[in-house]
Amino acid sequence: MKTLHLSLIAAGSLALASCGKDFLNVDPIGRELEINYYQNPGQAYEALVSVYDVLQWNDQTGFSVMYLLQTVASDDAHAGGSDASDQPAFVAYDNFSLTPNLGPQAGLWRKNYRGVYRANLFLEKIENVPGASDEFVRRTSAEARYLRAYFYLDLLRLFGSVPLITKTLSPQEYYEVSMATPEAVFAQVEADLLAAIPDLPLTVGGSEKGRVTQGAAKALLARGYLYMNVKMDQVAQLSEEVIQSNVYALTPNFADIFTRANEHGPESVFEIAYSENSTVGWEVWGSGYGEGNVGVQMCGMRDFDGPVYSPGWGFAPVSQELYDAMAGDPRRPYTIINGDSLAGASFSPGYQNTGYFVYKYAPRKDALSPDGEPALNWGTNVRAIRYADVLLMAAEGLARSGGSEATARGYLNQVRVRAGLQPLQVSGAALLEAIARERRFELATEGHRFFDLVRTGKAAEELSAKGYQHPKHKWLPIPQTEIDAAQGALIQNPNY
Amino acid sequence: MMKQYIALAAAAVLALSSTAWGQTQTTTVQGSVVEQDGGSPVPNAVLMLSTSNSVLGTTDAQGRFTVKVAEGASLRVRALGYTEVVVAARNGMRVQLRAEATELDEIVVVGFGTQKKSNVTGAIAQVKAKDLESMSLFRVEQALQGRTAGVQITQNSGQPGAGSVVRIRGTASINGSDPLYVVDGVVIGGGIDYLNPNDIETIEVLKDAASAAIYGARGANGVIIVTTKSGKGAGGQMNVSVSAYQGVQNPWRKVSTLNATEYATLQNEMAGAAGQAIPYADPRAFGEGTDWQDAVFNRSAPVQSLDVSMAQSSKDASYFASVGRYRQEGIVAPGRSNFERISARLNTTNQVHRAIKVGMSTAFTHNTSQSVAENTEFGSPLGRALNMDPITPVYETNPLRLSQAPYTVGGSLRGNLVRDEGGIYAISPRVTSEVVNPVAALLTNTNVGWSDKIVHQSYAEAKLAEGLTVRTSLGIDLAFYGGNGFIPSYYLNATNFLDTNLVTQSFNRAFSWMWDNTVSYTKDFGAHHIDAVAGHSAQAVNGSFMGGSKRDVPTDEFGFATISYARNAESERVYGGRWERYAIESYFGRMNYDYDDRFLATVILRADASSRFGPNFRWGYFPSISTGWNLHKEAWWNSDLITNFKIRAGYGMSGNDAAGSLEYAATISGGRNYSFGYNEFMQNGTSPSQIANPDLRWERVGQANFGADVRWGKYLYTNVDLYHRATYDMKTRPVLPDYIGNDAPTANVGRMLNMGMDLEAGYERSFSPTRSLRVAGNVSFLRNEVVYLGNDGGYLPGQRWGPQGLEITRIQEGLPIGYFFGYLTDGVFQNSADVAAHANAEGDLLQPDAVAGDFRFVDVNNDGELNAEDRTYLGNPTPDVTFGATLNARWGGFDAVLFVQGVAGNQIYNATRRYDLPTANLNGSALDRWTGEGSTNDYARLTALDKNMNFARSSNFYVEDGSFVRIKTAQLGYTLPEGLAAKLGLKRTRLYYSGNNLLTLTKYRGFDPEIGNGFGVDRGIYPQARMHSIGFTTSLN
Repeated sequence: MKTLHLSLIAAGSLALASCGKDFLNVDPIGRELEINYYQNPGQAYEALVSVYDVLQWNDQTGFSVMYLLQTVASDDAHAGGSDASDQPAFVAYDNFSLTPNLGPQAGLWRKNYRGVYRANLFLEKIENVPGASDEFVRRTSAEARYLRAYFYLDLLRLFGSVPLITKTLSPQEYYEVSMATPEAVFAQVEADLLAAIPDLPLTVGGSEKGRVTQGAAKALLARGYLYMNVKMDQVAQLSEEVIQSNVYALTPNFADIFTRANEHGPESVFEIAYSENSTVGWEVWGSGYGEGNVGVQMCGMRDFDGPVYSPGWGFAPVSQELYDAMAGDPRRPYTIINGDSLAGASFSPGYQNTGYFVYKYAPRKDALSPDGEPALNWGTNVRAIRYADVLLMAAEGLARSGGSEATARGYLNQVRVRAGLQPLQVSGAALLEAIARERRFELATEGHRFFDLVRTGKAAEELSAKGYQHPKHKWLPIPQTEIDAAQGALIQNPNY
Repeated sequence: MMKQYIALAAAAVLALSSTAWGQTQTTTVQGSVVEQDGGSPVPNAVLMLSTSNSVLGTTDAQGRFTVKVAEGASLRVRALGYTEVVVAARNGMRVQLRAEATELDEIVVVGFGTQKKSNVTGAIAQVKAKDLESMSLFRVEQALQGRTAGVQITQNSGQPGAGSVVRIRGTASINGSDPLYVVDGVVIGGGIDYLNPNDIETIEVLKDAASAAIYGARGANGVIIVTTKSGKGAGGQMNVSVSAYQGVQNPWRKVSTLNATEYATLQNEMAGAAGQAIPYADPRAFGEGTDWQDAVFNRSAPVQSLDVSMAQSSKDASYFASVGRYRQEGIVAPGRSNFERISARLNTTNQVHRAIKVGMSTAFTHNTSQSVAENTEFGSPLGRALNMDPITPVYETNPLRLSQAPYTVGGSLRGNLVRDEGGIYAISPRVTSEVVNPVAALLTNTNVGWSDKIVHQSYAEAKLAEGLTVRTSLGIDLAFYGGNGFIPSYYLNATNFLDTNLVTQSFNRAFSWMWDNTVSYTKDFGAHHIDAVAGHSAQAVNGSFMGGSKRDVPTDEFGFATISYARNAESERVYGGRWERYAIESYFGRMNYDYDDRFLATVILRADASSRFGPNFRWGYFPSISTGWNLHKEAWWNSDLITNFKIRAGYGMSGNDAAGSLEYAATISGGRNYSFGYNEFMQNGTSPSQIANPDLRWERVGQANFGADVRWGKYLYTNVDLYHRATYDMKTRPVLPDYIGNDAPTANVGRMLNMGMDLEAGYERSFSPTRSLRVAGNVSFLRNEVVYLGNDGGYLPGQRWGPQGLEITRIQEGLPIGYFFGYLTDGVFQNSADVAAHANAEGDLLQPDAVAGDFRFVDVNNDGELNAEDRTYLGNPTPDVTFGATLNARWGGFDAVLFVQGVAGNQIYNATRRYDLPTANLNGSALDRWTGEGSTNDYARLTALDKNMNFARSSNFYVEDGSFVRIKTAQLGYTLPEGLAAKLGLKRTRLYYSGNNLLTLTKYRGFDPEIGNGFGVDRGIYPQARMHSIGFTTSLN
């Protein structure tokens, strides 16, 4: 009897020992749950910032520096680096030995789809944010649409046909995607930009520089039409609207465009902002967390010791051909560093050394980050769309749509005169050729040349010496890892 | 052990004692010593005076004896294998000795209780202190290596303080397959390297689910229960033991690499084959060059261990206290790789009341360690030593070179060249990237890790009635750990340099408490016996961390570098945070039933709830049942051949909550920042870290076990277990296409299978009290298969290698976990006809870029093309067979131990060479490369322009046989005769020599075939040391 009694006591005490209800609930520390988020305009704004963030990613699956890779792929520069094995992706893009497993495609693919996802997510969430004003919703939605268009325009120019995804996918939809033609992808780009333009501000204040404006959206759409070789009249009209908005102007002195002081300067229609203030090190490499422009580090001279510049890694050495072609052009010293002629300086020649280096994004001592890993914290912004580019697009659009050649020439000559060159009086085919030439020299090493050659059908002629084969190399191969992961949803580009 | 030398010392002691005899009346006593059961005579029994332990004589073959003793004296009678007795001396006496408990009648710890080994129905292995005391162990896991079937222990590396990979019956999950460690009832986080091996009384391994189910949710990978020593056995007076050893370690093998002349010759050959200019006009001029392995190895690395313990017990109380210190220098990188452990322990028990017992165990451990990078292709000392060119000297002494780049830039020597008293370390102009001067690189990073850990358990046990006991116990595991780091400014090559030095410090605290309450009840109902326990357990883990860094310390000395001393205020960084709490709550019950010790059954049910899962699937239920039958206890059993025969069968389910905090949720993460405005005003950006999966839940392992324990006659035993271990609901993170745009969540979709057989056999025999032989061996056969991963591709990417991220392993359905993956070579093209013949049906060349001397790759899928689809299975990192054997022999005062261990049937992926750097040094096997038709079929030609990608593809060229047999320990000991020991003021005293890793037989060509932390991939591991040591153990009064 006593035993039973004691057993009951024991059983009772066991039951009492059970823990409270909250014992097993975990409160997040230092982070929030998605289901509790997007509840006020402040959180929505931070979500928008995360879409912008992807613009500056250059660390996806290696060095995915868009403007530098495009320069390397063109006839303006070689791969460079320490030796052929330094960055095989650069070498493969330079000499077109691309394979589905080798090249810069994985990083560029990943980056742009991360951007698309964040834009899609934002556009889904912004509908239901308590306390968000109409004006806030309209403007931020327009920005997200612009950014989505920006990512898709890069995707279609890099890969041709890609899956067109305009909402966040549920697990059931992961493998239901299909390849969209470049035309279908561009239709989405066009629709997003046309929808965004009216809701975007004409100008933004000093503290908002870098946020999307109407001018940026119109110029991006013009760039898209040009690449697709459609609606040249729209290219002209959109570009002229940007010109006539009187928001932008050419920087009087060409040499000043790429100085730190001129970031978000009058000539910047759209800039990708980098910052030296995140002070990260290599530990974040690959995560997209850094804020620096590693392309600046890459194109610097190896082991450089001397005034003005900081040492870099010797990538994208400028080709002798571009250097020679720009002979006599006043822009040359502000486009190409002649490393061998620098007084009181020395550097180590790297792979494919020509002695010539990219000037516009060169690592300059005065821009060296005070902290963090210097290579990962260059704050130099990328001038993604310059007013000079808009002027040349306007000229090309007019010239190719039967518009006023005089007006077209006028725009072309604005660019020439600013550079210190004589105005031209050409017309017809010569005018088009002059515009193309001007694009090459004005925009050299900014990452436009390769796409210009492709869209004008000159790539085969200009790049065959480097290994370019038409039409195979118009597009990068879709990354093999992605083809594998997509379980049959993706089709490799022809000839790979 | 005492018994062995007593007989040997008998004569001496007799002589010493004889002086006393004359003073009292002595009498002659004749008698016999017999077994209690059956009355058979006991030969070689030792008769001693109970008061002085003086040996008086031994029994003959018929068990008879004649001794002379003082009148009224008592005799102590001892014999090996029997419990000693003290009896009054009487002429014609018949001393009955009871046979000591045999192995099968011992007690094993089963979690929340103990059980007679003879009645265990699950698969439980036990290692006892007496098996370990002669070994110079430095980690607890070593006690299990090669000694228990089904438990595979692979040391991570030879780095001091490095842990081991412990797998019980294979790898059950891709998400963590480490067993649960329970020390004195406390579930221990962060491994058990805080334990001093000398403190261990027993280690039990719960191998099957029927046993491990009592730890339910966390038992899926098996449970290792460690019980530390208590003062119970000490017997009245205080017993002080001292053990110490001192050893020296060195590498047991050097990997063959090219010397400078060979290197230059082959570099010339490579350049020539690629149509490039020949780089070295006169290879012979370089001679032997630098042996980088000699430069980084430490050939006389000391190891020291000292341990002192005290124990005492009385009727009501006992204590065991110990202090220990262990120090080890590594065999790589003198002064940069070492480990020290200082440990202290106090265990007590107190019978505070007739029915109430309290006790506690408290351990404190302080560890410090310094370690170097290992098993990485991106810069480990040994990886660099294999890849660095032998032409480059360790130090650059040539003034001309020092006056040029890269040493001198802009007219002056670089300030941050790595230098020491030997001069300026050389920078290779040939090999680049992470392959820098390995000796110089060691000086560019100092990181001293430390930890302070306290593990405590207090319990109180009350006997409420006959057979009914309640127990409450509170366990605490408190750990502080962190590190101090310093990176001086350095310049190693163009891509590896630092201009401003950096100091870092980190500090972490982890705290876990655990409260168990149990009721146990044991009762006999006639021949029926029940033994039941029910309980509740709760545990919570908290932690916090903090750290920081700062640049520009005005010194390049580690000892001076602190964050406060650093000057660059702008560079000051701090981080810190708290862990999200981990909590687990459980109810459990176990019922052991036996009928007359013949029919046995155990039923376990456990319910667990883990904070790692969402409310939908928080609770998991884990039942098990097992049964056994002691056939030899049946009345009809009558066999002299088989004296003991038990068969067992069981099935149980256990769980694995290996998931991160809030892994089931999509959380918002910051750091997605972007700058707006002229002043680069940083804006915070946030986005979901992953996609949510609210249905995330327990992984479950269902295991069936069949076993038989047999004792053949008196000396031989065999234990066999067959098991089938299936993992369900295994968490996988499907590889999602990047176009989805965010990281995939984990989901419980996978399945894994392990099946195998564990065999143990032993032979134990005493030929006399001073001569005995014990041989114990075990073999485990294991087959692992990933059954299902739940993504249509059927595989997960595994390990990658090199800057290009070459895929070298995969986890794939139908194949063993982490199998080696790549192209299959089929010899070397001997001539262009061979190349032309390697074509598809249409006549297209499969390898259009190949020439004679290149590898022929197999079109595995026969689609007429050689492409990524042809990559296939190349080997398995998990051994089919794991085995170990121990031989113990005693002969008089001498004893010898030989412990052999090995694995068979596995492969190793030898990824030690940086193929992406054509100028990196080559393995000596490159001398047998293809040099012309008929030269070899195994090693392709060397060329600087490897168009055929002979070496740039993952292929079976890199896969080698990983089987090995190793003499882990060979020991020779000598136990001092008692008399001599007594003169020195000592009791039992043993001196020994021990050799570790004396001999390794393997075909593997890398540093060491034992690769724990790389899952069979060798990227330049830190090999096990060969060690010679001498030591002693002694007891003082």
